[in-house]
Amino acid sequence: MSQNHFTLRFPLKAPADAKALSEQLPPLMPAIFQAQDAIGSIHYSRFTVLSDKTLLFLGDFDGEFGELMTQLAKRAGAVFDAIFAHVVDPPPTPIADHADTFVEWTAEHLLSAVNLYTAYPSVTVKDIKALASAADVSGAGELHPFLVILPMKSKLAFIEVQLILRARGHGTTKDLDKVGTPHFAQFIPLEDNQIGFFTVYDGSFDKYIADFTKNIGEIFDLLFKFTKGAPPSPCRKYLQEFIDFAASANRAPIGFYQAYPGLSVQDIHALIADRKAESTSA
Amino acid sequence: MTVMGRLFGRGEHESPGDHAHSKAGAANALDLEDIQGFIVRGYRMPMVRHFLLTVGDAANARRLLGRLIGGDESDVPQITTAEDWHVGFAPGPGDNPSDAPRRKPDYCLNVGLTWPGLVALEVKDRVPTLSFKSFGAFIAGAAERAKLVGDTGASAPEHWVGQFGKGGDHVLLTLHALSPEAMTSYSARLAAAFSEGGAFREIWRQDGMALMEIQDGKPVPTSKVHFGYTDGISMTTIRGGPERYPPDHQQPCEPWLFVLQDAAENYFVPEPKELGLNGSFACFKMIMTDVVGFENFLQSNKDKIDPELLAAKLCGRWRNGIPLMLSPDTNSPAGGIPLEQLNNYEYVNADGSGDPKGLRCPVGAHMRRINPRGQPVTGQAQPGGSNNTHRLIRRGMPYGPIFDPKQPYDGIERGLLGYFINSNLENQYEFVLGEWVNKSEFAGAVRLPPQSKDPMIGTQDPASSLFVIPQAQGAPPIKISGFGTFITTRAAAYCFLPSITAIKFISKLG
Repeated sequence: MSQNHFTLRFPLKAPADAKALSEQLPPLMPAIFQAQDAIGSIHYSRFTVLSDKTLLFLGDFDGEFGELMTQLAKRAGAVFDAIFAHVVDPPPTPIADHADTFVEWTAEHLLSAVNLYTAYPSVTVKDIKALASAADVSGAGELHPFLVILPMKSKLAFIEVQLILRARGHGTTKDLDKVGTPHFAQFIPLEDNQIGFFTVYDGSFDKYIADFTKNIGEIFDLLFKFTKGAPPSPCRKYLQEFIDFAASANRAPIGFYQAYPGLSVQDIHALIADRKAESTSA
Repeated sequence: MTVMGRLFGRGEHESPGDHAHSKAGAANALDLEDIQGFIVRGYRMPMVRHFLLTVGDAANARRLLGRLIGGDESDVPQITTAEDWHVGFAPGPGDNPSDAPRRKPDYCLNVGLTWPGLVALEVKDRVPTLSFKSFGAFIAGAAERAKLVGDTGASAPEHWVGQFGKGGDHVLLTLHALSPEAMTSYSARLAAAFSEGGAFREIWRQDGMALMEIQDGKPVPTSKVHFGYTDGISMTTIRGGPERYPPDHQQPCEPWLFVLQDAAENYFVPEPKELGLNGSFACFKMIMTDVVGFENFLQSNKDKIDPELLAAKLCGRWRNGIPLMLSPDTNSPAGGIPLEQLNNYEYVNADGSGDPKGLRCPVGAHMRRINPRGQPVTGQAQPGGSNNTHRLIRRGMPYGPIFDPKQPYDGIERGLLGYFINSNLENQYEFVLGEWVNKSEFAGAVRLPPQSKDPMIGTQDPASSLFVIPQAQGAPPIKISGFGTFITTRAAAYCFLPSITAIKFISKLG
C-alpha cells in the first residue's frame, strides 16, 4: 500500500470567513482527530488559514485518496459541514449524506505537489502502531508541523522554481533522508505565486538548525534566489536569519493530528530495522 | 607503546618530521604557527595550573599579552603555538646541535579571553568593526547559558568558585609543565608579570595533575581519572591536523570545527579577520567528581549486575580502557587488544549492522552519547555516518589526589579541570551537553528511555533517573534507577582562544 499526501484548498467567501474559521475550527479538532483514529490510514494532518481567501487542509496518508475522502465524509462530516458554510460553491451538505459529491469536490480542489518526501515509505499507519505496540514503545519525541509559505518574485520565478524542484526531486529526497528529522515533506505551488513547504519534523527547529541547513540548506538557497524578501544565503551560515525568516513565513496550524504521537523518525526506523532483524533470525 | 606513554612522552605519532607538510596543501590547511597549541595538540605534560585574571590597567594588560607572544623567552614565558616542539626551542642535552632540536619544552602556555575580558581590555571600544555575529553564546557567557547544559542546582553559577560567571573572569592563562620545578619557576615569572603596572590581578588559580601510579618503585603519571577509568583513548582527529591518532572508523573532522576558518560551513569568522582567523572557542570547566557516591552506587547494584561490568556499561569502556564494543564480557580479552586498536570500532555500520540495540555498549552509555559515531541520531540519520558536526576536543586533567578506597571519606575535593574546545559553542559544546547528555530524544524512544540522561555526567533527579542495559536473546533489560548526579560544576567560562596574530592585534591597540 503506497503512502500519499493531500493538500485541499477551501476557497472562502470573504475575509470574515477566514477569521470565523480560525475561531470555529479549534473546538472541532477532537471530533476530526477521533474520526482519523477510526479511519486509521492518516499519519499526520492539520488545517491552516493560508490567506483571507483560502483555508488549507493537508495530510499524509496510506492508500487511495477517494476512499479516504469517503471515510472523512462519513466519520467527520459535521466538521466539513461547518467549514463549507464559509466556502464558495460548496458541495451539498450534510456531506455525510453526499459523500460522492464531496469526494468529487475534494478531487477538484486537490493541489498537486511538485515534490513528495516520506521518511519511511514501506510502512503504513497500522504497521507503525503494531510495531510500537509489540515493542512496548510509547512515543516521547517532540514533533512539529511546519507550514512555510514562500512568496515568489514573479510568475516566471514561480514556474522556474517548480521546474527546479521537479528536476531535483531525487536529490531533495536524499538530503531529507540524511538529516533524518522530517517524517513527510512536500513542496506545493499555491495561489498568488507562492510555494508551500509543508513538513512534520522531529526536535527543536532552532537546536537542530545547523544539521537541518547542512543537509537541506542547498535547496532553500536555490529557492531563495526566486523568493521575495528572502534571507541571505547560504542559509547554513546565516542561521539566525534563516530561523527568523522561517518563523515569520510559517503559518500556524489548526489542529495537528498524529496517528502515533511522539514517535520520531529514529523510532520508526529502529522499529522497522528490529522487525527485519527478527524476521531474518527467525 | 602504552596509553601512558602516548599521553606523557613523545610517541611515534609526533616525530618532528611529520609536520613539514602542515602549511602546504589545501586552502584551509592549518597555520600551525598562528594557532594556539592546545587547540590541535595534546601536550602530554603531567601537571597544569590555571590562572584566572581580571584586567587592572587595560593598556598594560594588552601590552603584557603582546609580550607573551613577543618571542623573547627571557622577558616572559611564551604562548605555545601548534608548531612542533622543535620549533622555537633551544637544543636540549640529548640533541645533536646540527639537527633540528628535539627537546620537549618544560612548559606550555595558553590563553583564553572571555567576552567581559575583551570588554575590559577595551577591544570592544577600540575596534569599531568588532563582530562575533555567529557567536551569541560566547557574548552571553557560561553563566547565562548554564541551564542549557545542565548546570543547575548545586552546579548553578551562583555556586561557582571565585569570580567565575560574575563578570570579573576576564582572562584564563593555562600553564602546563613537565616538572614541579618548572611549574614553580614559570608561575613566579608570570605572577610577577601580571602585577607589573597593575596589568592584571590574579583572582583564582587551580592546579591539576595526572594521577600517579607506582611502577618499579617510582611514581609515574597515568591517564586515569578519579572514577578509575583510563582516559584519553578516543581522540578527535582533525583533517590535516598535526597529530595522528589510531583509526576510529570516523571521518577526520574538518579543521573549521576547531579552528576559525573562512571555509566554515555554519559560522562567520569574527571580525576583524586578524582577530578572528585561526582562533577558537572553548568552555573552561572545573568539575567536581563524587567518587565515593559513584563507588557506592556501583556496589549498591551488585545484586543486579557485577559492579565492574556496571562501570563499563555506564561508560562504554571497562575501567582499564578496553571498549565494550571490542570486548563486551571481559576487561581482559584473550590475547589482549593492541593499543592502536582500542578506538577502532563502530556502533552502527552503514548497512545497519553492528550494535544498534546497545547489547554490547548501551546506547545511553556516556561515550556513546558524547560521540555517537555511526549511531543514527536526530539531525544525522545515516547509519555509519561520522556525526562529526557536534564533535569536541577535550583538554583536561584531574585535580585532587588519587582516590584511596581505604579512606573514602577523606574530605578532599577531586575532579577534572580543563577545556572543551570547539569553534561553535552553540552547535558543539552546548549541543552535546544539552541534547545528547541531558536528553534522550536524539536517539528515539525505541533506543533510549525518554527520561534517561548520561549516567555519568548527566544532571539527574534520583526520582526519575534511569539507565537501561539491554540484554541479548530477548532477556529483559537490566534497569538501574534512583541514582543522583555524580559531578558538580564548580566553575565555567566561555573563552575565545585568540590566534597569535589576534594577540598581536590586541597588544597594538594602544
